[in-house]
Amino acid sequence: MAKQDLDINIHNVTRVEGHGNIVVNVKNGVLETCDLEITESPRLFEAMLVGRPWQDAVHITSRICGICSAGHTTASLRAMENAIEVTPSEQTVLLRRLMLHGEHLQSHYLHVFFLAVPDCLGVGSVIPLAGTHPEVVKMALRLKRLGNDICHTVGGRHINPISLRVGGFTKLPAEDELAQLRERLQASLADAATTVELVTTLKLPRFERDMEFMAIHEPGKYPIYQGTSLKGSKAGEVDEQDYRKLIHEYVVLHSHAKHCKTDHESYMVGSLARFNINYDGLRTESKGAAAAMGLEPGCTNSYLNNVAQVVECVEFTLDGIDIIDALLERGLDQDDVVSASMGSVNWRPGQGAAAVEVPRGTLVHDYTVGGDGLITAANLIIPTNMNLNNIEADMRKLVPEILDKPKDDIALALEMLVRAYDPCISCATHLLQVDFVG
Amino acid sequence: MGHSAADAKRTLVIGVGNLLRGDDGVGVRVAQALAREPLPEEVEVIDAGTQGLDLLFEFGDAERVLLIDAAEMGQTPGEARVFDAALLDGQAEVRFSCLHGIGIAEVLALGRAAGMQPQMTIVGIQPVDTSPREGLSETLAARLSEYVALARGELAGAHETQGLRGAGQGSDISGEDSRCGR
Repeated sequence: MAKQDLDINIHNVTRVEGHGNIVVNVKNGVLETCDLEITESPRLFEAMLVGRPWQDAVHITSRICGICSAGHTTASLRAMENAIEVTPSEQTVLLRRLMLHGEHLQSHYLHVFFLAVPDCLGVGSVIPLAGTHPEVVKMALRLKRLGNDICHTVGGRHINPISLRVGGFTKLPAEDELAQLRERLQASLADAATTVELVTTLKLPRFERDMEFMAIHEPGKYPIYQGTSLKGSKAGEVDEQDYRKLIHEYVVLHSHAKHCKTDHESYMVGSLARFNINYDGLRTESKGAAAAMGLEPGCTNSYLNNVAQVVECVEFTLDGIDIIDALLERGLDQDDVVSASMGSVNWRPGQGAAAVEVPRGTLVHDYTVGGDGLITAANLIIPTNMNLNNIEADMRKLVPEILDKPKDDIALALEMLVRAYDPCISCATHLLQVDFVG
Repeated sequence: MGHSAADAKRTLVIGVGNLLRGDDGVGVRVAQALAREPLPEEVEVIDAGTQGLDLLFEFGDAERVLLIDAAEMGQTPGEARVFDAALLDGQAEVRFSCLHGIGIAEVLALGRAAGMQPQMTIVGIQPVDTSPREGLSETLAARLSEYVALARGELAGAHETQGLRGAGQGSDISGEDSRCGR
């Protein structure tokens, strides 16, 4: 018999990054409230950037989040280069793509093993798992470390990279360092296979909702650094400079983080969205891993975002190997560096935006730079902001479907749903432009 | 104070804490001070700051770790205690809540459970105040050299590692203070 009244208030959802509460109220069988309240304090980055020299943007925005710092660095550099008309070399692009893969790998493996898998195994955290499956936990840490080390080798530090600038690098890795990373990536494929096998044994909840997906896109490819378009599965494609035609941000009362929608509805970004939009661009091995784990293109079960993350781990490991092979075959040009002050960079004032795929989805940075070199406007749209609306839409569909279950089961299903999106709440609470009226 | 996995040392001294949260940074301050002094060949000092899970990677092949951190031990603020990390077993409520809330207790519990932790002694220092601000409290700042001497003594093996007296009677080693930075 369906419950008539239900009040769920999960204060501080666990095993996500940042702070948020789930509030669900059902009265007389009618769903009245279904909110993901983001309580993380606003971070004020967009306002912070205004009035700063354009050279500062990459350093400031990489501090939005320690887990996502390489992603913010990448989006910031591409957006600024679009704004002030600087073109990086092919070598620079290859190295940036490699670093971005490093971030995806460390983030995805961390999320799958430490945040999501404990749910599937019915344990409260990874610590009991470490007791019962120590080899699995050691493998997870090993894989995370490889991701860290890729970022460290390319960027000089695994959190908040220090050698990346508009136009290039201040310092390049050595070729033997890249060769070592290649060997470790190659060796990690065995661990990736073990991860795929582990995931096939997990029982993930069933859920379906027809929804919009969004990601950067390039036909026949699986882009993360740059696409030929920004694509909504229903809303269509635009050039990344015209992202505002697809993405509309707005403030909601119950959350410190803004929400996003297309013209019609909420949408999902992240691994599952990329998988659905760019499936044709995946390598055969990655498609095989997906099939083995029961993930098919067109999947609309948000819980399977965790599975899509594992598919991407396979894909990004292989792509990372190919990138290093390309770099080593070309030979690293150690003269292809920029000074830390970027004093020699030819730039002009302007406005530019870039859309990059970071672990949690599409990240947009948009800057306007004036004639004096100072930033006059900045807009940052974070993938987790984009997902918050979609998470609530999922919850609104899910709750009535499971209303007859025990309250604890409903609460767990909701928490697992939020966790499946791998939200980065610190990133999402970056706004604030406040107009006090009256 | 860099650390390379290739330079495996037998003993690691690791200072942890957040310099932007008052006395929470005392472990880092002690490590920084220690690193300025001559040390035995086999000892390396690491400023691990606010690392979370990645702290486990710092252990490398070390045989022994001396970890220095602010700790809620139910002691008078400013007091230091030396104890074996095994004392933390089952004591702290390990929350493992959000990624930025992974504190030392959680990391060490994970390290122990996964068999990744070498023999570890902890120098815990009872803080006065760990609210966001720069600099140590007067109490801890005045005793910094004492903490450094305590750590040196541990390295020299001059102190017997002792269990925390009165454990279970209000001395709660929550290791709450080390938060991951963003």
